[in-house]
Amino acid sequence: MKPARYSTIMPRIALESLKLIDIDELIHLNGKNLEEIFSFLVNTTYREEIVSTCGDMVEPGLLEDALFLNYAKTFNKLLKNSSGYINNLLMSVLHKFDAVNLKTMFRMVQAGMDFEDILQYIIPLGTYDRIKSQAILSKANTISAVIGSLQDQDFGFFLKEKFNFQTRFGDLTPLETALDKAVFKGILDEIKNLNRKDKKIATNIMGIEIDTLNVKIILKFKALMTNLDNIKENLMPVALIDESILESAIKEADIKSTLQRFSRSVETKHQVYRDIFAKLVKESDSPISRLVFILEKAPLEMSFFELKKNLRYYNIGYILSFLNMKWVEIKNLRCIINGMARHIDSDQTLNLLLLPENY
Amino acid sequence: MSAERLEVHPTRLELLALKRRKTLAEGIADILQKDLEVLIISLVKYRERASILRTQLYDVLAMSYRYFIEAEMVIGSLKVKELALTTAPIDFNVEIKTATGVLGIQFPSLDLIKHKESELKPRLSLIDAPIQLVEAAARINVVMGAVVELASLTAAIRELLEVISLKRRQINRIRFKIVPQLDSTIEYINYILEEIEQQDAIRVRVLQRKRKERSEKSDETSSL
Repeated sequence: MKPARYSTIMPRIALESLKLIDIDELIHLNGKNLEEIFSFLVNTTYREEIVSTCGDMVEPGLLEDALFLNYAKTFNKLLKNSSGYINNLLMSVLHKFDAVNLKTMFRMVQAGMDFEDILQYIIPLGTYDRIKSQAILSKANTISAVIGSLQDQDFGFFLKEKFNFQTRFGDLTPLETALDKAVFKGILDEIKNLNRKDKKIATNIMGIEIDTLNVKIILKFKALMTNLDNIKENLMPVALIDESILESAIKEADIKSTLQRFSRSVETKHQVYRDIFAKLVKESDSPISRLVFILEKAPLEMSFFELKKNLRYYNIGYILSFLNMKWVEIKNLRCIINGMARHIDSDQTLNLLLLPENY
Repeated sequence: MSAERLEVHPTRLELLALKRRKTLAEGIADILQKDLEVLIISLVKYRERASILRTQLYDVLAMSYRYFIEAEMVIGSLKVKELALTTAPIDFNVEIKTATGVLGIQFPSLDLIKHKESELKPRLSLIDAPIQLVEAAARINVVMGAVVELASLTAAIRELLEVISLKRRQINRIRFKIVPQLDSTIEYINYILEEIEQQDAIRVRVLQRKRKERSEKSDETSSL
């Protein structure tokens, strides 16, 4: 990609990266009470959203909402400062949150919730934010009506196609899976439009997220389901771990052999993939939650790797890595806030934080 | 406190009948006591099993709750609520049967009937549900069998306690009401019979004396 494409977005990324909370400070927050966390966050980039959302009340839900609002603001700044293929890629990434909000609407409508109650479950991010969702839900009180009101939107057409007999009778899985598949396919399609170097970096950073998602789905199925027939229907589009590897991994007898199969398949691939799967094989006897936690950290590991590897300033890696790191920061803050609200031991909370491997 | 006497005729025949009844009552009390001991041993065994099961159940539930809290920490309580609202409920039923236990007592037996179809599909969203929530739900699903077994054991313990209480009341009734009543009546009849015997003896002695006096008088008149 030409450096000109990055001329406006890179200073913004650099500025926003400086605002990320230092990991030591973040870990130091663990174990502190909500007032202290609030006081800390008020002196960070989250100040504006914290003050406007919380006011005098310090509640976990409000703090969480403020974090999302800050992410939305940051994302919108990046969108505003981007153009061309970068803007398209960011838009496709933003669709992940659209899918999250659409799924929330479907679930809540199916559960028979009032539309005003549903709005508090909507993440203030993406196309289907609270205002847009309110407009949809005020007129539609069934799933088909919600889908009907989306027909001129991005997901409207294909959701209408997917709304079938099974969905009509309460099983939202096909609809939700189709929505996620469409989002990830959209991201991979947009990556294809980038130039050679950017395409490689973006495929690595976004691809590991999609690939690890597929591995997590297979592991969850293997650990919890008796019937492995319908795994394939639930898998997302693939990046570096292709369908043939996924199929052969599904056929493996147990979790250990499945992870060994994955490990063998990535031997010639990216170093982060090799490291992640080597670690998974090593810990294959651990509980499934531990294995999934290792996979959760994979996008962050890849982000750090690409940042170290590609020192050339103008590349997509900076943008995608920043988004990953910002999102992980918000997840970690949410974990600390909710852990404190439920009086969870700080060691237990620390084990749930997504931190860099060599921290 | 003296036991109430039975309304019987104080005859030797009744006395024998009452003594037979007392022997029978004591025999029954001994049998009931043995039954009671067997029931108590059985109760202790059931209680131990229930205690082990309850500890296991609490451990699993505590672990499940821990996972649930972790899920809330990872994705937020609203998301957990959202996923929970649209999760397919576990389709199961509890069949109540009766099983013959110790001393032929009929216990209620509960069997968990799960519909296999529910295990074929994931209950929670594979993409959105954190593994902690999936594990918490899976553990709850597994623990259902233990909950039903514990309920079955509790029902059996309650039944045993009722039978033990009944047996104890029966034993107490025999030992502290029927046997003392019989003892008291036997004692009374014995007393009456002794009284009659004494009166008879006196009467015999008086008659003998009178007969003796009469014979002495007749001897005197004949000698004159």
